[in-house]
Amino acid sequence: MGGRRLDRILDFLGEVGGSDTSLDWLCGICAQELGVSGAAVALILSGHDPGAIAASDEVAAAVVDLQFSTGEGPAIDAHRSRRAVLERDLSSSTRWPAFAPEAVAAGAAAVFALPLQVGAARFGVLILYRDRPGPLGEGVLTDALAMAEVACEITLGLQAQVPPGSLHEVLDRLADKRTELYQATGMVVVQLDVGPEEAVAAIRARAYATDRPVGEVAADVVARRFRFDQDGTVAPPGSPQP
Amino acid sequence: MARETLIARTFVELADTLVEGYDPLEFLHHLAERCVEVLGMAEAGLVLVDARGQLQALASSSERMHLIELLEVQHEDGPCLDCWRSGGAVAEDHLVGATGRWPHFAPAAVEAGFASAYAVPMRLRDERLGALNLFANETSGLADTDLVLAQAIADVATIGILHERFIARREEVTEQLQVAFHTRVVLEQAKGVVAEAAKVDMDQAFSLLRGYARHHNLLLSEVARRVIDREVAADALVIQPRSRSGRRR
Repeated sequence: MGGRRLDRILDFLGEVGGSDTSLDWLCGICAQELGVSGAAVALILSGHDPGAIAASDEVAAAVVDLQFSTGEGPAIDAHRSRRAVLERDLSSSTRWPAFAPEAVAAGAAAVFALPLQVGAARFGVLILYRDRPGPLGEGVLTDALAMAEVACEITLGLQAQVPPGSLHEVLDRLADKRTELYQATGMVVVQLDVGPEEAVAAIRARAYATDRPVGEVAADVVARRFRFDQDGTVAPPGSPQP
Repeated sequence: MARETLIARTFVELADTLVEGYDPLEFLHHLAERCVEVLGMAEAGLVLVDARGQLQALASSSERMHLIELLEVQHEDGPCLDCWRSGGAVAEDHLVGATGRWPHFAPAAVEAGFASAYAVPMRLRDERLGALNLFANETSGLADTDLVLAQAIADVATIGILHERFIARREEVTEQLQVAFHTRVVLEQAKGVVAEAAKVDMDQAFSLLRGYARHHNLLLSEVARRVIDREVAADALVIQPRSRSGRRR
């Protein structure tokens, strides 16, 4: 997009940078300027799964959600490796056997993930997707990395507005959306006598096996419509409790 | 070493501050020493504004220099103060005649053996960090062209310092973001543990956690962490009030 155009975008985002909708703006600009169909900003915090805090459209949001439910995908890899993960053709990729077909079905043919990081710290990913396969355009990776920097800046700028110990509203919304999953995790920790990570894995496996969203399985656990037996097998609702 | 080589090396060293893991104070001392060498000054010193907006004499090429800078900051007169206020370079080729300009600084500097004094601002656009002070033993100790060079050194150093502060601040906020998010996650998980173990609903689970925290004078987040880490059995939260009333009887 050229240095001067990028500068103007950065100036513009600098003006709206402190507001709750800045990240949504950023995702929209990414979609317009980077030759992709859409973008999302996802948080990935200390071992927790990706969750979108902004998205340009529903497909972009789905690309994040699917990585959350399958536990794999470019965002997770980019976060782990601290490097950009570029997948120009999801349909022919074997990297993410659970995520890729679902992402394609949701409307994403190519996905690009750029880590949000500051020095030694990292906290999320900027995700770009396109509805047609193909690489990022020439020179676009540099611009995309610059947009990831801006996403980083805006996210931390929001968090810097609130006192330590609390979460900015935009980020808090993600925690709110996941509340039932965290509560269900705690319940499954007791039911299966395992740690939280294994409990989440069990909930996720159940969602995958029954082809339902993770959030629905979590809601069933919290409402005690469903519980995980000690041996890991599934007790249908209404069956005698162990 | 040829002067050009020394100048080039100085700029490379300053640019190295963009790399992680440098000590800001050591950097400033190094900068002061290099200014003396490259610009052929008697002494150099850096005065930077601190978090409360107060100027601090942070690094000097010698103790003699440091004392004069302290005096500048204390009495709020001198080239560095003028430079800081105006945001532009300050030059005084003849300190002996400058008592009218700087009543405290000029006599003290002459007494210490200096004959001329200069200061260039350390600033990037609106952000003013402080000033670089340069003192010479002879009058007119810094040529105009060298004042330009001094400003270039100050500019590179300014960018290095701002960059370091910027990264440090962002790392700090990232840490706060992670801690705050993790605290929320762990609290909800702990509610789930208690709800399941004690067969209560989420609100009651939260009350039990809070009750335990109050009784043991612990932070709620700490109790939640202990529950999740199995350091506190979920049952203990329920049994706690009963055993208390038992003792009272």
